[in-house]
Amino acid sequence: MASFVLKRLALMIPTLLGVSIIVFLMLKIVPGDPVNSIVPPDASEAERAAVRAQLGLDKPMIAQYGIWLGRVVQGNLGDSVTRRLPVTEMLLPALKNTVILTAAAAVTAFIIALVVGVYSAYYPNSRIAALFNGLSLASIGLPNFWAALILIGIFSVTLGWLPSSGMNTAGSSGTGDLIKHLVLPTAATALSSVGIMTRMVRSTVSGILKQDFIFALQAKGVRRWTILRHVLRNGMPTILNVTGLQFGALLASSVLVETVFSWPGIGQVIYQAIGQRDFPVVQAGVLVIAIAFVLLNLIVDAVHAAMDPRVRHA
Amino acid sequence: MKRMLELANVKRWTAFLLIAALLVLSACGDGGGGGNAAAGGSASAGSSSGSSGKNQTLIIGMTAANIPVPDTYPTEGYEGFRFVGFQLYDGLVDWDLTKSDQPASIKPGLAESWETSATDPTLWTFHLRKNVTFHDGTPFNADAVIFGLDRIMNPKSENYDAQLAGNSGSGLRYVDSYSKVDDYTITIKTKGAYSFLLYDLTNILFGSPDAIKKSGKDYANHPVGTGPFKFVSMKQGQEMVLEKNENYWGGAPKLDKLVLRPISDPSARLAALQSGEIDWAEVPPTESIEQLKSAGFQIMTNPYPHIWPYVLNLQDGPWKDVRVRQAANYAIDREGMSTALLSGAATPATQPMYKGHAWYSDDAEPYTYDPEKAKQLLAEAGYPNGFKTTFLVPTSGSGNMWPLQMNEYVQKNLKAVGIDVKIESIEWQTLLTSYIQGFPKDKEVGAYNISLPTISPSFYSQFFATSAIFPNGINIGGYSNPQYDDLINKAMAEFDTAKQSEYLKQASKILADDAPWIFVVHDLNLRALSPKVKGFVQPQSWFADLTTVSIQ
Repeated sequence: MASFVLKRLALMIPTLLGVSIIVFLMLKIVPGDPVNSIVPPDASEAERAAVRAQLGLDKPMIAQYGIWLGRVVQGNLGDSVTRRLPVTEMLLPALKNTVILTAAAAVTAFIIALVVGVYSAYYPNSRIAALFNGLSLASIGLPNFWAALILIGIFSVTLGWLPSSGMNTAGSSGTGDLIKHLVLPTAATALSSVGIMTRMVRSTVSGILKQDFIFALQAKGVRRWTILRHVLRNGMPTILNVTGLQFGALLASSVLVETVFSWPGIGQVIYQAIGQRDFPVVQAGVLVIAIAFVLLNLIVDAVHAAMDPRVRHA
Repeated sequence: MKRMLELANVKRWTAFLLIAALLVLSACGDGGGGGNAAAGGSASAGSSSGSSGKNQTLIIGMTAANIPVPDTYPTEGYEGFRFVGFQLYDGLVDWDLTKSDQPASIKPGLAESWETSATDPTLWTFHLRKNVTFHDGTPFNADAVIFGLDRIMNPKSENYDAQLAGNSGSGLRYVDSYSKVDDYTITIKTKGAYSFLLYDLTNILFGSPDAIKKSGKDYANHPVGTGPFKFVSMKQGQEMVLEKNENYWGGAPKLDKLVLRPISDPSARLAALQSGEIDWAEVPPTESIEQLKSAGFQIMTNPYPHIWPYVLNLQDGPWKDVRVRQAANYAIDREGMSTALLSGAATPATQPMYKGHAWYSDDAEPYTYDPEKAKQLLAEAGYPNGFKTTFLVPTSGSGNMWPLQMNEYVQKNLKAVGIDVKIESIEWQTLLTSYIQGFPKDKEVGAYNISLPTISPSFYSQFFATSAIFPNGINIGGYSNPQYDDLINKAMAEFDTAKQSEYLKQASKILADDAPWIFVVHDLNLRALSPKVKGFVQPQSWFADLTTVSIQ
C-alpha cells in the first residue's frame, strides 16, 4: 500500500510541472499588462517601466519562469501584484473557504445520492422512484448559478430564512452563523452532482441486485438489511470513484456559485486576479487547485485500492 | 475468516467516513474559531453604541470583488478611495461632500490654509492643522507630511515604497520639490506655474509615520490615519470593519461602526439589500429601481464628474472630418438610453462636463437627437451612403456601466444614419492595454469606448492637448487645436478659480464643437439605501461623506 501511494506521489511531480508551465504560458500569451491595473492610465512610460522592472517583468520569459519556480519550490508563492500582500495570505484562507463549501456539497450530494439511488434501484417501478428520476434529470440540466439565484429569491428575499451572501453576518460570526450561510451555496453547488451521482448509484445497485449471489442470499433467507450491506460493499468502489470525480466537478461549479453568493473562496480570488492580470495569484491559485485535485484523486484511488484488492495489485 | 475480512472492511469504511467528517468539522471549527475572536471584538465595539439607542452600524455592499487594500493609496480604484481611503485618511486638502446641489469643491483638510508666493507662482506654502493626531496617537505635523511625500517621491529615503510610488506618483508629477519650514508649515515647489495642484493633492493621503515604520511591509494590515473612521479588522474577500474616531478633527461621525462588504455580483448585492444583510448597495441592477422604490428603499442619483464617450480616431478615415464627428453626435438618442435602457441611472452628455458644473458651456453645439441633421452632415462630408467602421468596446469594468447593452444601443442609432459599426468587445484590462498603445496600425479602428473621471482639470490637458498626442501622452485620437491648447495653458497658470473656470468653460465649448469624441452619457452614481439609513447627502462627486450618516 505504501509503495502504491509513493509511486502515485512521484507521478504528481511531472503533472504539476506541466500545469505550472501551461498556466505560466497562458498568462503571457493573453494580452493585457498587469502594470495597467497598478498605475493610473495617465502614468508616463518611465513610470510604467519602473513598475515593470520592480515586478521583474522586464526579464526574459524563461528567466521569469525559472525565478518563479525556484521560489515556489521553497514554498514562496510571491506577492500579489495588485494587492501588495503575500499570495499565500490571500490563497490559503480562500482555499479553506472553498474546501468548506465543496466538502459540504460533496457530503450532501453523497448522502442524498446514496439514499435516493438505493431506493430507486430497489423499487424501480414505484411512483416515488419515477419522481426521483425526473428530479435528478432536471438537476443535471439546471445551470447552478441560475439555481443559486432562484434559491436566493425564495429563501432569502421572499421568506427571509437564510442569508444570501457572504460567510458570516457582517461584523459577527460563529459556527451556527456559518452553517446558516452555508446552506444555500451548498444546495446550489451540490445540485448537478446529486443528479449524476444518484443515477450512478441507482444503476450500480440495480446491476448488483441482478447478480446470482443476491439470489443465493435471498434463497438462504438472509435478512434484507444484511443483503443491503453486501450490495453496498460491492457497489462502493464504483460509487466512490464517481464521488471522487464529482469532487472535481464540485470544485469547478463552486467558482460560479462563489461569485453569486459572494463566498470568499479561491474561485473568487482567481476570477478577480485574472481580470487584473495579477499573474502570481493566478499561477499560485491554479497550482493549488491542481494539487488539491491530484491529491484528491490519489486519496480516492488509495481508498479504492484499500477496499478492492484487484486494483492494489494491478 | 471471511467474517473477519468483512469486519476489517467495515472498519476501514468507518475510518474513512470518520476522517472525512473530521476534515469537514475541523474546517468549520477553524472558521468558527477565527470568527469568535472577531465576535468578541465586535461586541465591545457594539457596547459603546450611540446615544440614540439604536445600533449605529452601517453595512455597505461594494461592487469590488475584494476589500480594498487600506494603504494610503487604496486598491479597487475610486471605490477604494470612497469607502476606505477617505474614511481612514485625510489629504492636505479634502473634498467638500456636504452639498448635493453643486459639484464637490476642494476644502481645507490637514492643511488649514495655503497660498502661492506673490513673486513666484510655483512656490506653494501650506499651513498645517494643529492638534491633529493619528489614530495611534502620533501627532500630525510637518514631519508626517514630509514622511508621506518621501514614501512616494524620494527614492533615496529609507521609507520610499516603490509600489506606492507607482500607484500615486503620477499625482505628484508636477511637484518639483518640497520642504519643511517649521513644525506646522511646509512648502511645495511645482514644475512651472501649476494651478491644478490642489486637485492632484486630494489623492495623496497621509498615514501615521510611527505605524508605517513599525509595521513595515505589513502596514496595509494595520493602517493608521487621521480620518473619521479607525481600522478594526479585515477578512480577505469578506469584510472590513471600521469604527468611529471619537477625536476626529472634523467632528466625530454619528455611526459607531462601518462594515464594508465586497459583493461584485449586482443581483447578489440586490438580494443582500432586500434581505437586510446590508443597508447600502452600490449600483444595484437598473431594472430593480422601481421595485426598490416601491418597497421603501431610498434610491440615490446625482451627476458627478464622469463621462462615458467614444474616443475617435482623427488620424485617418472618415472621422478626420469634423462634420462626420458632429453627425455621429447628433445621431445618438441619449435621452432614450438614459431613461428607457438605463432606467434613469445616467444623464445625457453632449460635452465633457454636465450641466450645472462650472466648466460646462451653455453655448456649445447642443447635440439633440436629430438623425436628419446627422444624415445631412454626413452627406455634406461626402458620405451620403454612410460608411463602415469598427469600435473597440469593453465587456465590463469599473465605471463602464453596462457596456454591452449601451454599445448595442449606440450601434443601432448610428446604423439608422448610415454609419455601420462593427463592435469588437474586449475584456477591460486588454482594452486598456491596447488603448495606451494608441490606435492599431494594422487594421481600421474608428473608436475606443472607455469611461473616465473628469474630476481634475488636468483631464483637459491629458486627453486633448497637442502636447499629449500619442506617444507623448494619451491623446491617442491625435486631436489638436492651437486655440484649445492656449486656453488650457492659461487655465493651468491661472490661480483665480473663477477665471480658471471661465477658461475651462471655453475649452469645453471647443471640445463639443470639434467633437474629437462622441459624448454619450454621464453616470449618476446609482445607489440604494435602506429606509433606516438617515442623513446621507448624495454629493456631485465620486466620493461620499459618511460622518453625517446615522441609523434610525
